[in-house]
Amino acid sequence: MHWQYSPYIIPQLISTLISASVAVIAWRRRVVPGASALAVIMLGISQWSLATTLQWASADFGAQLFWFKFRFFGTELLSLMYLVMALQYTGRSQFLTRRNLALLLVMSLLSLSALWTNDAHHLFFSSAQLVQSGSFAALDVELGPWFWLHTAYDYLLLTSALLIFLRALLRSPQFYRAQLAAIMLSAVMPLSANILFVSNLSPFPYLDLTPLSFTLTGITYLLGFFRLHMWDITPAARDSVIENMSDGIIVVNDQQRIVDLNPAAARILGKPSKAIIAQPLVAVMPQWSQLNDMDTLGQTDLTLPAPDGTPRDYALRMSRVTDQHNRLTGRVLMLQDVTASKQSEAKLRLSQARFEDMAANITDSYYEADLTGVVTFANAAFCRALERAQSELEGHHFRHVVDRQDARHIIDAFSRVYQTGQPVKGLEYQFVRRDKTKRFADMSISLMRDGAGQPIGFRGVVRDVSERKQVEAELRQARTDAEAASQAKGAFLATVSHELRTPLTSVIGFAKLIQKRLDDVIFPAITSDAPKTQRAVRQVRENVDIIVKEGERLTTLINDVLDLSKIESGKMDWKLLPVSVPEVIERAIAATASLFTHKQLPIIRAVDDALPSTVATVIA
Amino acid sequence: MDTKILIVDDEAHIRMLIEQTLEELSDQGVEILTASNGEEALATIKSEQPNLVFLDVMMPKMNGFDVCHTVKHTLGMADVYIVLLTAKGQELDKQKGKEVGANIYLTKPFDPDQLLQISREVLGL
Repeated sequence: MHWQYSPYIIPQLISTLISASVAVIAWRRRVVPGASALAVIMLGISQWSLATTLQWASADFGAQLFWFKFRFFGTELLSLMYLVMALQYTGRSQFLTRRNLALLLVMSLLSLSALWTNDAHHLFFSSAQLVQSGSFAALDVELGPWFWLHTAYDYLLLTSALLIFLRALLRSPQFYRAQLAAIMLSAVMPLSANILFVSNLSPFPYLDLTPLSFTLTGITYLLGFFRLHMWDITPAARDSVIENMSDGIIVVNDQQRIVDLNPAAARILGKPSKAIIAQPLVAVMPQWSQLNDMDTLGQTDLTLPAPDGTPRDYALRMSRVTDQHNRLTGRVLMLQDVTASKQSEAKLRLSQARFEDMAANITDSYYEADLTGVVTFANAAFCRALERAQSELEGHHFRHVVDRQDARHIIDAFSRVYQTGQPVKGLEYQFVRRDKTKRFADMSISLMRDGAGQPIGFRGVVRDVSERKQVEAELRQARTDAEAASQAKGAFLATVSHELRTPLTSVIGFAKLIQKRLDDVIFPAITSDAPKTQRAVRQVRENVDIIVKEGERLTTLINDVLDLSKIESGKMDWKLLPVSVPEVIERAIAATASLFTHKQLPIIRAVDDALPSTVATVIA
Repeated sequence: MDTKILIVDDEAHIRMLIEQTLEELSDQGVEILTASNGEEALATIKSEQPNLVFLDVMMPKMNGFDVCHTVKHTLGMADVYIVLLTAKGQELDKQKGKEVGANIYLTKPFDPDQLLQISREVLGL
């Protein structure tokens, strides 16, 4: 194989490298619609350029012809992939079914077959030969009818793709226009060069400028990637947002006819898009005729029936669409389903009304305060209790609302509640009414928190407990009085018993001494046997005995009185034990038997055998 | 050795009763002393150092508890046998008597024979 140098080699090589680079960059972004197609295109271009480079570098006919044929592998891919890219980039991938792609590939495969079997039929090119052009040999090819068919097909594909891009460009916002223009330019440049070449209008003989123009294509894409954010964001993604959003979007023209709508809007209106487009807006949304002031308000609430007939609430927003001369060209309507939030709003309103009603009508005072202690809400009862108007309480600090001493308690309690998060109950304070009466209040404090759980203030209930306090004080006094009376009685009984015991001591003591003296000294000294004397001695002895016995009985009585007073004052030690009732009766009879005997009275005892024992304290 | 018994009571009748009860001890040579209030009793105890004291609780000027406490604790005369006599028969008083160091606690009205018996035991007669 012989090599030659041609001035076209270097630029051709540069084109090859640039195209390969763009292919790599595009492949890295292949998740973005159209980027993988671009990678294939640039790979094809790279192959085409490389084949052309090698064709120029080859000095003999066989090699040149081989590279000439070889470059068509890339060429065949270009137009087809450009169309694929156009469809993907503009969000029309649904056309790219396997069947459609296969059909589009048929022509390319036929062309390649025709090229490589050209020797048999000469349909692709009729002749080829080397001619000397300046310092190097160039391949002169006489193109056949199949080539023209192939070219026409390529141009058809390219033109379709360009039209798709053009349509997208005209409908897109500014941001995408530069991208789209660059993509179109990248195809228009080689297309123009190719037209020049195949029509033999090229200024350079035998030189196909098409592969060279790919240098510009590559540079365009490189600029697009780095300056225009090409393939970072594509219109396809933007369209899918509109298509998939849950809010309905309707576009009407200046005649109030619907020109476009997204699937959500069709669902809201309950008809397929096809049945809606081109209809007057009032025909599908009769409520529109009543919304006269939409142009000034821009938004309103609207109720539309759902397909099942239940009413649903929508927030309708309208934007005017104007041209560059600020003339109205249409309107965009956006329908947002707010049924759920409307319902929860209604519930909230009901709950708020309930709260307000309750706060207004309860007899207890209810307050709310912010974290600094300023009253933010005072219900009617609180105002009545403090004898102030609501405006005199709300916005005022608690320390101006109650007495200074109590204000400190309350503010201390507030900070305690804030620090611990625990509510305080039963905080008591005093306040003086205008009529100088002192009242007692019982206050509760709990922490108010916002939705995020952050403390925002305090709230609680204040109850006038003056009556309860008074009753409590009266009860305490009554108890003290009763206890004092009981103590006085106890002290009195103790004194009485003491005062009684002292003379009793003398009475019993002396009576016993007299007994002793009589027995020991006096009676033995009486010698007279006179019956009268003997009777007197007997009587004196008996009488003194009675004095002693009665004295002892009196002592017992006094002790019993003392025991009773002990029981009453609660100083008695109770020892609760099982006690047999018959036994108690037995002891009682034994203790009093002498009295019965003395009075000659019979004792009748009747105790049931089945009498159960009981629990009691026996005082001996 | 002189044996002395002191009788302390503001009631003259009670003093007399006890004196007469202890008459037979007096016959045996025991000296019977009397005092009619707490201060007098304390002075007599200090000067005479009796072996046995019958001490009434409820008295003017100085009550029996205080006298007993002073003798037993302040004066340190632990050898003096003190019998507290009281008309108050309550538990609280018995406890108080124990606290101030009384040897025995007798409730009025007492039995004269018991008094005599206690005296004989204490004095070893």
